[in-house]
Amino acid sequence: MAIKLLNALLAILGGIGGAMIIFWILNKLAESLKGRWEDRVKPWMFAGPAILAISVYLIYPAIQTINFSFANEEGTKYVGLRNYQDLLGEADFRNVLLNNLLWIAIVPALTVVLGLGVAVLADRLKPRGEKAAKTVIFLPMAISMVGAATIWRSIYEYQPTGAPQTGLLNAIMGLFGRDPVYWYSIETLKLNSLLLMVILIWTQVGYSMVLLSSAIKAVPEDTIEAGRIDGAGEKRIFFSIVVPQIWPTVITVFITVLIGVMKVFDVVYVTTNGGYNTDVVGRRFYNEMFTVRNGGYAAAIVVLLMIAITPVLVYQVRQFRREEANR
Amino acid sequence: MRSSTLIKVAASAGAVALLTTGCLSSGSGATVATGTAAGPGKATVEVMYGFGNEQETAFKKDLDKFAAANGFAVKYTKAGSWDTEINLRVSGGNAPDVGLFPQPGLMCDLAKSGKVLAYDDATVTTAKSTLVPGFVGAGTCADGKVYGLPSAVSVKSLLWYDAPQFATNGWKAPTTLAEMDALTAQIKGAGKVPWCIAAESGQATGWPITDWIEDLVLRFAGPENYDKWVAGTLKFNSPEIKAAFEYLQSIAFTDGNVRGGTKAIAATNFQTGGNALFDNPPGCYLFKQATFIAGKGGFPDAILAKADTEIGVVAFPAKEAGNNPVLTGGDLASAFNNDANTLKLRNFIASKDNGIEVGKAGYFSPHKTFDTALYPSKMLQTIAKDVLYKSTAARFDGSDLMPAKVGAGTFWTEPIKWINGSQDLTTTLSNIDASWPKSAS
Repeated sequence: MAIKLLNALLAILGGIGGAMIIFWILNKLAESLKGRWEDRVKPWMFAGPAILAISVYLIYPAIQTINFSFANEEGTKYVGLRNYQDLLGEADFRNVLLNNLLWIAIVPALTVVLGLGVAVLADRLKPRGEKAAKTVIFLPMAISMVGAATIWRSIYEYQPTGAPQTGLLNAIMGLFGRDPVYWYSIETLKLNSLLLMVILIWTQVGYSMVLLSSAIKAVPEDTIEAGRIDGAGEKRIFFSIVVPQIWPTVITVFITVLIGVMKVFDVVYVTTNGGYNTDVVGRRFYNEMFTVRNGGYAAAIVVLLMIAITPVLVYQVRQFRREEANR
Repeated sequence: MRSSTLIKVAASAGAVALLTTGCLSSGSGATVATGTAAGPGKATVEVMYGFGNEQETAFKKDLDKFAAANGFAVKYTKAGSWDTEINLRVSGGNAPDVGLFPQPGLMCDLAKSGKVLAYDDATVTTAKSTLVPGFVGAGTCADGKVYGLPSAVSVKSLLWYDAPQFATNGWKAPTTLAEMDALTAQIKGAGKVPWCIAAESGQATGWPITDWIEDLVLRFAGPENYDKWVAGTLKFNSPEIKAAFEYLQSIAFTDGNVRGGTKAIAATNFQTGGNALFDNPPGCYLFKQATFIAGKGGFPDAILAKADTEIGVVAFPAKEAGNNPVLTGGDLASAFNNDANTLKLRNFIASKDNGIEVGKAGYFSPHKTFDTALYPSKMLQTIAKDVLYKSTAARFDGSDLMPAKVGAGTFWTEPIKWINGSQDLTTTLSNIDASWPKSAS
């Protein structure tokens, strides 16, 4: 134990010390240059290692992924656009895309609305009640997705008719004399997908609530006061005074959850493994990569996901810049 | 300004893309095809496996003894997720010395690219003389060479029942499918539910159905056709294979035959789904599952404590009495290099002399010569004697042998859709056939 701790300490010291020495040497090198060249080279000396790291760990793999998406299962021969044609021509995969669209349309919006609702209502409570309510709602944030899915199992679980029902929903069905239902298998109106979304929303509302709550508290009291004096009702004050002022936070929360949702995997993997038409892009990628071992399909799926996420990222960066400019 | 940065970024990205174009991995590299030993013999041989618990402890005891007697040490590496980890190790050029493959499909994939070493003929002949017939085939790949031989196996072709219940009702455990049908009708005639069938397994839901089908294919189509079916030359939609599905349909789709109704099959957990056998009154009377079900996490602890008197088990009924094929799962020992000690250890793992401790822990040796008295309970001794060592043809779990797209994909999911009533049998079978990878590259 002591040795492990010592090792960790040495690693930290070595890491930080090493980095400091490298930057010091690079700085000296830059300073040894004459005149204007020193100014020209210096920024690159400091940004260089970071750029190098990003190239090696992010840009190079991304380009390789694009490269492999045009190759066969083992990445040994180019097959042109065949991977994309196969995937997009497959009814199952189109259904996967549709499911992802549903997740995107429903989860971030509901997370923001619920988080905002809780934040506003909790704001009206006495400090102690507010703290308690927020803690309870924030708790699921600390649970891993797999843990959350396991917890929700005790709500959705099914036992055959006649056996004691261990799932909450089916126990309630039993109270009304109905037969138990295997919830994950109900595809009508995509109910099963919706039930899975509930799990994700449950874990994310806490995050949304915390950010929005602090944004609401930062809304200047005098703007609200002014509205009240002018005779605005609660509704008007909320939608015309509070919401516009917390809008940047709303966007941030929305986009963070949105990016999370686009990559959703664990919840679906541990509950249905994509069965009963609940599959999503993230799980299908995992399936192709690690179960079927078809590197070509897997890479193509990732590329499609990258293409879909890019506009969102661009928007987020723009939004961030705009906010910076406003400060 | 902005647009010029964009151009620069695009240009550099393009440059990198150009540099990497054509940079695909260059297929199979160095091959180790010879089966004869070379090299002085490593001081430490690394063995990698995916099992745990008592099996792992017992396995280590067996190997340590052998290694000590032969003057080398064994390094044990347990893979939490076998497929992923062995793939990474092998493709990273850092393969262990000996590996225990639970799924022959992956082993043959790696053998095709020359990463796994074949057994020499002498070892195969020796093993064949004591192995239950059919086991050598499990580790034989498409090129006809044997790359893996089984060490410990589990038996899947088992029918479980509540022994005291059968005694009080005067029922006899069936030995043929016809008797099983008659018993099913008899139990139902007495106003009771005959079967528990459970196929829910979280992300692997559906695999218990593949065990059902495989056992039935072995019986209806025979072991030779089973091999063709597993290799993909006999389609799911062919009459030979369809007969197996139709038989399952006759049991599982008849009203009142299955606890909770047909749709409950897909929703009932495989591990606890058979516990209703021992409820009072019993929820069902017959249950098909592999040996593991009579262990922790399966049947209730109170029943397991009195296993020898409470639990009844027989071979899954044959089509004609006495001709019982057996479906098994297990680990195939294979080598990744031809170091002398590596081969020594691999051959020992696959030999009839291995498995003493593992047997005592309750895992079966695939060799008929194994002393069944070593197995820890009467129940396991019965399974070994009456089911495994008496079988006319042993076959490996077919879904583990098929391409993963089918064996861990559509063969799980499509029958579940069939059981849920969202598609008929013909659609189910043609969907599975359609998902079979086109080119067996």
